[in-house]
Amino acid sequence: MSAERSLAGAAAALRGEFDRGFAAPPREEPRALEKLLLVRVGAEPYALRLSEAAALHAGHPVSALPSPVPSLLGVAGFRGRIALVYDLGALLGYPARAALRWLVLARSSDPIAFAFEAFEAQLSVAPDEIVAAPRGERALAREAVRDKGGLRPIVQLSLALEEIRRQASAIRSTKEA
Amino acid sequence: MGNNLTFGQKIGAGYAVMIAFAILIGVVAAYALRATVESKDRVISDNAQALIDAAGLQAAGERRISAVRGYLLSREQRSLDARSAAQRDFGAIQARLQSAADTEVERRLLGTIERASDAYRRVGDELIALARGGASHEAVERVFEEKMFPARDSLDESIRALVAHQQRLLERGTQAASAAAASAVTLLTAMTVLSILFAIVVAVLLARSLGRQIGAAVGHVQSSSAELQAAATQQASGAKQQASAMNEITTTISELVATSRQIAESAQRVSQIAGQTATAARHGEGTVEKGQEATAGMRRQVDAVVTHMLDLNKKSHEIGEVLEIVSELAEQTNILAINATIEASGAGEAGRRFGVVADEIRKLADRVGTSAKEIRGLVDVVRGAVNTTVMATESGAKAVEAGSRQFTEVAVAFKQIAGLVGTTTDAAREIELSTKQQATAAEQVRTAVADAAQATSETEASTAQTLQTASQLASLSRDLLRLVQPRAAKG
Repeated sequence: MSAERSLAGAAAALRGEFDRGFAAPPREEPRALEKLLLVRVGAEPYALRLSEAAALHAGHPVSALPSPVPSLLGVAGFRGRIALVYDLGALLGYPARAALRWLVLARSSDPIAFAFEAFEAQLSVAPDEIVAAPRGERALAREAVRDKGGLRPIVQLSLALEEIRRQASAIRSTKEA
Repeated sequence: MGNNLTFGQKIGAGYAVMIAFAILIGVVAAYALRATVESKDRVISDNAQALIDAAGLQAAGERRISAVRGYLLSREQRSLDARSAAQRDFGAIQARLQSAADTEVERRLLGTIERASDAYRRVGDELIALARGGASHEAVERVFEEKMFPARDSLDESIRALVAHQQRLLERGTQAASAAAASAVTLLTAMTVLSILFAIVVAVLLARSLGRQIGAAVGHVQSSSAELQAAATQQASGAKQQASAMNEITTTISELVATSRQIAESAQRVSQIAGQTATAARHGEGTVEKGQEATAGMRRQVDAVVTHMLDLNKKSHEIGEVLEIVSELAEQTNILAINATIEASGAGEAGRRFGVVADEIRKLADRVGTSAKEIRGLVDVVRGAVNTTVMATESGAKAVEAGSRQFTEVAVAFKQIAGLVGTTTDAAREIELSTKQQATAAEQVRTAVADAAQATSETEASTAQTLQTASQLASLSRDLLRLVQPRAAKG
């Protein structure tokens, strides 16, 4: 009986909130809030800046592609565009894993997407909640955000793109040499 | 072989041999006697007859001479007739002797006699002729002296020679007959001696064999009588023990009679109690049948509960599937809202407002996803509870089934109890009757045992008599053994 009441209450709250969302005037959200995507990479919690993402997808098919770059998984199509898909965990230094269901398309001139294990939620935080990453954290995560469980590293996709370019140029120079 | 023969056969065989010897001796004696008689007959019939005939021949010759002398003196015809008769007798005797003669000597002597007789007859005829012719007395006397006497002497001489020969033959035949008789006597004596010796041997062998066998048998009889004596002694002591045991049995049977009466009374009480128990068992059987029906109803209800629970589990599973869809929709909505936010961020002021709405939609999707997770958790709890309930209900169903089985077994047991109580009642009645019969039988047994005790006393007395008889038999066997085997008896 208590579960029934709980479910019924939850449904009523949802309905009320939904109705209020359309009934209330649009709220003016402070511009300073930073939106983050809370994800899991290799069972570790990380965060991505929404401003660095162009799209988020789940269960998108990835066509494998042979490549000398170990982090390159393959290619995937996003609304008529072909994008290269890289393993975000491999770029962070984790060993190769399977079942990377989630893809985030980076906001970049080059169509590049990053694959990771799980998407948890979206979080809006004030800028003062973002701090420098503690010493010893991975190179792609220079900042962190305070979370319930402690500090959550923020992976900067721009740094990941630079790392990809650096690896590609290194391989190219190796081939040319 | 000889040991297998019976006494009668052995004695019979001995007598048969003796009879065979007697028959043989009789046959030999008859044969010898017959030979002796034949020899004597031959002496008497042949030699004696020949001697008599020889003597008759001599007499007939004398009668011829007398007849010739008579005629010479009387000149009568009667003398001539007498001479003729004597002449015929002489001829007949001579002819008989010749026919009986079987040796050359006899035939030669008879030929001599015949020639002398012929000469003597011719001299007689000459004298008769002279007398008829009227010759003188001197002439006749001279012829007489010159011819008649020599002819007569010659005839007498030849007849004496024949008589002497016949006498010698007679003596020889007599001696032969005596020798045959002596041989027969010797043979018979030898056979008689042989028979006596054989009879002695047979008697000795028979006596030894029979003595040995009878001695062995008597020895067996002696040992058997000793064993009989010992057995009779044991039987006497056994009879005494048996008599005392009979007295104890009588006492015990008296106690058994009293016990049987008590058992009969107890069996009667058991029969009454068993009847009451049978009534209670029938009531219990009815109660158990009602309980069995109630258990069957409970089982049906439990089956219905299990069916409903399984249906509930199925519905919960379907709810879970719907929740999966809802969760997926919430996730897709969330993704769409995020992407809309991203798109709105580059669309200026209008995009900012759209981003607010998209954020609201994202939050709503978040809430829906969270609620869906909560509902899934609740549904999982419900499914777990349903599974637990189903398992518990199945355990209950099994328990009910086991209870039903136990009720069935209890019902069967009650039926068996009712049947067994009935059987017990019948058995108790039979025990009562049997015990009464047993008491009566025990009374009869007590009487019979008393009779048996009396018989045992008589047996004891009879055993004493048997002991005495066995002693007499042992003494008798010793005497018998002494008769057949004196040395063994002494030893």
